Amino acid sequence: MSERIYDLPGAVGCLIAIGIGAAALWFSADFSDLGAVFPRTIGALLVLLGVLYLLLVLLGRTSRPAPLGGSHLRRAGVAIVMLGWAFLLKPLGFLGSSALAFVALLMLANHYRWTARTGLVYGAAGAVLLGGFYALFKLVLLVPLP
Amino acid sequence: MGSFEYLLAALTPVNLLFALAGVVAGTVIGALPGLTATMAVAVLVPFTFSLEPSSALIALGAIYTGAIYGGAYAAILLNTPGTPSSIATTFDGYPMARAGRGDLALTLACLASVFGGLVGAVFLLLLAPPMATVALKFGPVEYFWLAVFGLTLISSLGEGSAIKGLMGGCMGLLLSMVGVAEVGGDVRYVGDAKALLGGIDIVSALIGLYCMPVLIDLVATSVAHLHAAEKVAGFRLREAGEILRRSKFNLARSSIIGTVVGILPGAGGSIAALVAYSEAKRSAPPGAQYGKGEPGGVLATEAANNATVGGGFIPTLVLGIPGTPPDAIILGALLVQGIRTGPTLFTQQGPIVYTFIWGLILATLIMLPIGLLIGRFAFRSIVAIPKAVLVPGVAMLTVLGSFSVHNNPHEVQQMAVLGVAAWGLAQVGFTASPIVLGLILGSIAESGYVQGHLIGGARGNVLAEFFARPISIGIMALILLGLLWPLWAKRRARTAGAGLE
Repeated sequence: MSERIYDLPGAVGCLIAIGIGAAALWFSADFSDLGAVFPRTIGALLVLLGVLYLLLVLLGRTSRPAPLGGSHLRRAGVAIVMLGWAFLLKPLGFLGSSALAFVALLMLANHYRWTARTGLVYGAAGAVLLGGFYALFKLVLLVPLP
Repeated sequence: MGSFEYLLAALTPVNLLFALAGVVAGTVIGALPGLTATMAVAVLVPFTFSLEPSSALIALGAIYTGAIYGGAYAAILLNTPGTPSSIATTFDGYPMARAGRGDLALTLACLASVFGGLVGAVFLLLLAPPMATVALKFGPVEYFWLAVFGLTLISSLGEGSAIKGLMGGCMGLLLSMVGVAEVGGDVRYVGDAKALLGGIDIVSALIGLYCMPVLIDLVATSVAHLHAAEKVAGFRLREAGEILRRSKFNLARSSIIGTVVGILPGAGGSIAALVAYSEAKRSAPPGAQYGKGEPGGVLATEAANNATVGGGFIPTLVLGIPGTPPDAIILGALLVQGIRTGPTLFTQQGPIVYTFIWGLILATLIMLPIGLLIGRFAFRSIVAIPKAVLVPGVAMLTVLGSFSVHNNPHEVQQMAVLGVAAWGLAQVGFTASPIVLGLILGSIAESGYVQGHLIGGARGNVLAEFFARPISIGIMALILLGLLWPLWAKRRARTAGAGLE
């Protein structure tokens, strides 16, 4: 008899999906009949599929994704830096927010010991990339960067 | 305008320059493991916004085709597929490199990629216009079913569970409803965020959904994204030409497999390459060393994955349903250019489309010298880029890319939020592609569904409107086929994998 596999992360995902579907149904009460037909159909379908998958999880007829290796702190760091970059783009401007984010990402992505040489080389690479992209987008492609 | 005029239009110095730049940029990005062809197109798409539509399309097609080929470098020299499309290239490419024939494998990969790319592009040139004529007979209900067809295929072909794929598709559909509704004008799912009134921007969403999870995972380990490769000696063109001559049936079969798989929405280069590899191995003469450094394996996979480029453009341009994930981004870029894909594209925007198809053929030809040269001289410099610089560099491109679509900082926020959400959803088994397809197909599906409802209601039989029209029945049959296809494809891929073990 084959071993049952319970996809617990998948079950959590299904609960999230069911929540999204239920919210879509809930908010569709404010829409006109025409505007509500599709959201209600898709919201209901999402809830239905979520329940169906949960049943499969309970029956052990699912497969579990492979666990993640590596540093979760670094992953969280990248997510926070990217969100911060996006929300600070307007108040700090492109150069300010990008310089901060670049340094933060550089530190998160480097797993080796910092030396004066790596600091200098990576710093120069960052300055060239930042300056190069800024010049390309602002001056050549005429994108009004903040 | 005739074919010759379109060819001449594609041959302008500006178009040739963009094709050349696109192939180079795509090849370089595709060669970096972890950075897929989808990502190559996503991060470079903003550079095309200020171009003429046909030049922009040629550049994007060149980036795409270059990136698919670029994946072969790391697959052959490092046993690390540069893109998922080149997974099967590692099976024989790396053993060839270990046996001191890495240079020959790279030349074979380049020649096969050019051949496969040309077959796909010629099929696009020949098949797309008649398909568009048929598609002109489609009404709203047929478009609804077509959107469902696209969703079922991508959902089924995504990694893991088909039910999760369908749920991802539904989430994408719900995302497409954010903002002012196309039918009825309701303001939906906006809350107090006025920036969402215009809806979720497709290009920004795609950049976030596809690129951010890759960036987040790249920093997690100290494992280098590339390792120093072994020495590459020369082109060995004569020897490669002889192998090609001996393997012409393998090459032709693999290219046709790649084109057909590319036409099916959602089936990308990785499936095409695995199926072509499996067929090459199955039909090989006794004594062939598949899995141990057989050149036919490299030829089959590289011809097939590059043929998906032209094949994937057929549903993208004719029906507005992306054949592969990079096609989804190109579809978004076309919307930015004001071009609406669909059956009328070939009559209303014929010069742009035909110039693009010829441009794709030229870009594929340009890939021959460029591919051979990059294999020798540029690879070492790519290897030398430390991950610590690569990650912030690519991140900057995602920010610039999402901003420059409409010069709107809110779209950068959408990109980042959706990107982080996509990473979180990936951890619980939801991949990005079904969500993307739902987002793109949402408006087609909704207007078809609502209009079908209205027409059916006026005629007094909604069910007949949806289920009794001949073309609809044909598409529903395709949907059923699409739901059964992944079972076959997975079985074939598993057989190919098991054979190697």
